[in-house]
Amino acid sequence: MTSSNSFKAENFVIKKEDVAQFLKGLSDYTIYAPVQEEDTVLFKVIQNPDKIALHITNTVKSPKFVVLPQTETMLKVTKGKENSIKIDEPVLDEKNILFGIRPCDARGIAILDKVFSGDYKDPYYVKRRANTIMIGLACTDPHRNCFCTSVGGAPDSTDGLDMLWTDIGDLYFVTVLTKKGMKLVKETVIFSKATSENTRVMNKVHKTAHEKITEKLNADALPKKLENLFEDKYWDEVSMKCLGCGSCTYLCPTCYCFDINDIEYRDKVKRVRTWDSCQFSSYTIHTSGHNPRPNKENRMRNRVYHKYKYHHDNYNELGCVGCGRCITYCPVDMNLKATIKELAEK
Amino acid sequence: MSFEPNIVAFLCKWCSSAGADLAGVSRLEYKPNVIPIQVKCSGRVNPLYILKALKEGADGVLVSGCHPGDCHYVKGNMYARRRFAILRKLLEYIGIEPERFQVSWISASEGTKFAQVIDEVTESIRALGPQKKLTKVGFDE
Amino acid sequence: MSDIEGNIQAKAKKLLKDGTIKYFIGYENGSDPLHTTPCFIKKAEDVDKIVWNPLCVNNLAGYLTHDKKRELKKGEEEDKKPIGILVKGCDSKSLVQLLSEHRIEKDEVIIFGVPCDGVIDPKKLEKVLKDKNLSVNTIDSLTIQHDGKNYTVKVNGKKYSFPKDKIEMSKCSDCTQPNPIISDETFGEKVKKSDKKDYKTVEEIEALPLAKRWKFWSDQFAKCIRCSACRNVCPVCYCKECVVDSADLVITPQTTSSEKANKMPWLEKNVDPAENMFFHLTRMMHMAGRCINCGECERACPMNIPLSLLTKKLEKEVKEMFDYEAGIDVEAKPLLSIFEEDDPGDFIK
Ligand code: SF4
Ligand code: SF4
Ligand code: SF4
Ligand code: SF4
Ligand code: FES
Repeated sequence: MTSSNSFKAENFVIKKEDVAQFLKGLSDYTIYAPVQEEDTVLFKVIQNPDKIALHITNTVKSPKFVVLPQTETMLKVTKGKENSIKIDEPVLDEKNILFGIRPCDARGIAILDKVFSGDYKDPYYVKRRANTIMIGLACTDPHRNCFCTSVGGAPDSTDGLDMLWTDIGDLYFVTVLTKKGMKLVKETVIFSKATSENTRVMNKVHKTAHEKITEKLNADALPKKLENLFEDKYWDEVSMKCLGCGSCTYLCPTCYCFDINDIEYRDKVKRVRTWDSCQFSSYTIHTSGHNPRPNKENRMRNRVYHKYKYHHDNYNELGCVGCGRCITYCPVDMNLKATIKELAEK
Repeated sequence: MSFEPNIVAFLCKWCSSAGADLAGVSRLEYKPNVIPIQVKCSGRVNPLYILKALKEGADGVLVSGCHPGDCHYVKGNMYARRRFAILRKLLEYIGIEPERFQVSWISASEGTKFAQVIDEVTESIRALGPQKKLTKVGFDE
Repeated sequence: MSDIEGNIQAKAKKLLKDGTIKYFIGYENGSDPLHTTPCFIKKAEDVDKIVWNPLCVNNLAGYLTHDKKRELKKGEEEDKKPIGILVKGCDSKSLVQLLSEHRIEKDEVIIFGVPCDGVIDPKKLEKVLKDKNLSVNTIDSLTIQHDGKNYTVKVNGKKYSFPKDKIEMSKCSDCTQPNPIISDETFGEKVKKSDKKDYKTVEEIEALPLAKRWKFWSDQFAKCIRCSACRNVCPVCYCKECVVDSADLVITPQTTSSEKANKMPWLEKNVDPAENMFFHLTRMMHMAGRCINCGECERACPMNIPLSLLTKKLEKEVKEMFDYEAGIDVEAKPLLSIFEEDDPGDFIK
């Protein structure tokens, strides 16, 4: 759903001290931005722009939940008069802005776009996504576990974004990438045209960030490699320490597996869609009781195959954006980067 | 309109349920707010039942069994007492009013006590108002 | 390399070489210099991967039950040899708990015990280093040494000193069992930590008025994404099928009505205050008299929910009400399968 139109990017700058005013002017929108509470930085709805925490490279949980909520009510059924039933569907007309989303996470949403608004158009996703504007923030200090440049991304990638902001000192350099983005800029007088000096600094900042990511993994080799590694002993070894929790998949910006359940309460029912995780032992269990992926080695293999082969088979791009969350937050320090390296060398 | 609490009562078959019957045949009057569920023994009441009842919107839960020493299965109520003591401490700790989950021992001959306990439990829960904290969300009008 | 590390390696090597154990569970260096990670050593020549240092945080005991849940592949034969495992004082308590519940038997495991003078919380370490302008991104080497009340942390060749309580796992400050309760061989000298458990943090919450307690916990559990890391990391949580996994409700023509009744979906998959609370209360009920406060659930939680405030509360109540402590006696009967005539009952009408 990224702008397939022929919008020509335009460059502006905004003074850092004006950012709060800009955001306050967007009162028609629900604004999600990174907020720090104690030691945890998460995307939250912000009322007060001063609370925004842009100093952390990335939030614990990816902001995909804004377009793909962990719990989505699809419909509600209530009893009406005389055995009639009433079905309510969610309205979903809230207009959202994701402010300060990192380029990897925006690419994550661009990946979800292809899944949920490709051949099959998921009405919930499509609606939320159409109502969401993404204002990205280029990374200047990539985390040690970031590997976006190995999987087709970059600390200044514009995939999926409506605007990309770059911290250039007292100013943010603002690259407007879509009509949606342009509309926001046009609504105020806070933005001014970028000068060639601004552009020079911006390019330098981007270059420095690129240079900070020193490791380049041969991730592109995987879709081919994995063709012959399904039965490899490697999966038994690498998965030994996995706990089969869902941290890696729930925090991941590109995981999108879901489950649908009907929840009853007295004479009402609601149908909810929730995230699911291929790492859970119950994920593929059949009604017969048979589980085609009974062990953690089968499940971990699926996670890697999905990101590095199946998704590539279907969409011709990798299904991982290299945000590093599954490494940083895994309770047993499972290292996807090492896995990629080891597989590429097989 | 005053608030009428919904209370789920797990009553053991041999004592408390029989006590309820006795209250009935003795034509004792007591509050109609309790939905009795007969279980074989108070020792059969898994803490999950209590939590689930609250999740399904019960304003309070009562578990009632035989007096110590009288359990039809000898000591089911003694095991239950341990579990319930812990559950009560946990509920209190996370900020649930202790009255939401109550326990009593009522024998088959204590029809009067049954009526009394039901009245007391009902009133103490009525005083707290509806239980929302542990109830399934998203179903309100 | 410390003597202890070397001795552990040598012993593991010997046991692997003569075929006594099927593998050894220990620690190796992790994805960055601030982390170690569990390792499973199957070959004698790989033992030099094994490390022992204050970054060896994970409790490895739970892995002993993983093998039992694993479905064998076609034609695969079960290896019945024992597993070698490294345990600290606290970890040994979970091992004792597993033994007392007969989840594992003593002849299925060879225990390498290490008296432990405290382990480092990588999150805290990252924070204090950041205050010194050292970002994880630029740390290439890091070693840590005990030094009385402090830790000396050598980063990229330069030494820094930090007070213990600033970087240690919080469970370590009031640890009463730093020496393995059970082991086949002990590596290193006995150490002394604390005489008494400290429940100050729990008491602070207890002292709050009811509404504030509710506010505190409902805010905390609102963060929960139900990833189950807390459950799955727990060394004494081993069921193959968990009561909170509603999807495990598998009904076949053979499923009896009582099975169906017992398999009702107690917990729904939606993540909301009621379901989250249910999840955590259920988990805690299942932990009563079994949780050994190893702090793993809190460490594993990506959302930084202070789960130790729950597990410590449980430990405190179990001690106060029933004078019971989990994980100290292999012969002990499970807390909820026994009772005393004079158990507290004043809450009963
Ligand atoms: S890789 Fe880590 S985060 Fe993912 S399921 Fe395994 S233990 Fe959990
Ligand atoms: S698989 Fe890991 S690194 Fe890749 S996008 Fe998901 S969380 Fe990020
Ligand atoms: S680890 Fe944390 S987020 Fe995950 S289920 Fe447990 S409490 Fe919730
Ligand atoms: S502290 Fe947490 S992980 Fe450790 S035994 Fe208790 S519940 Fe399990
Ligand atoms: S039969 Fe009444 S409590 Fe056991």
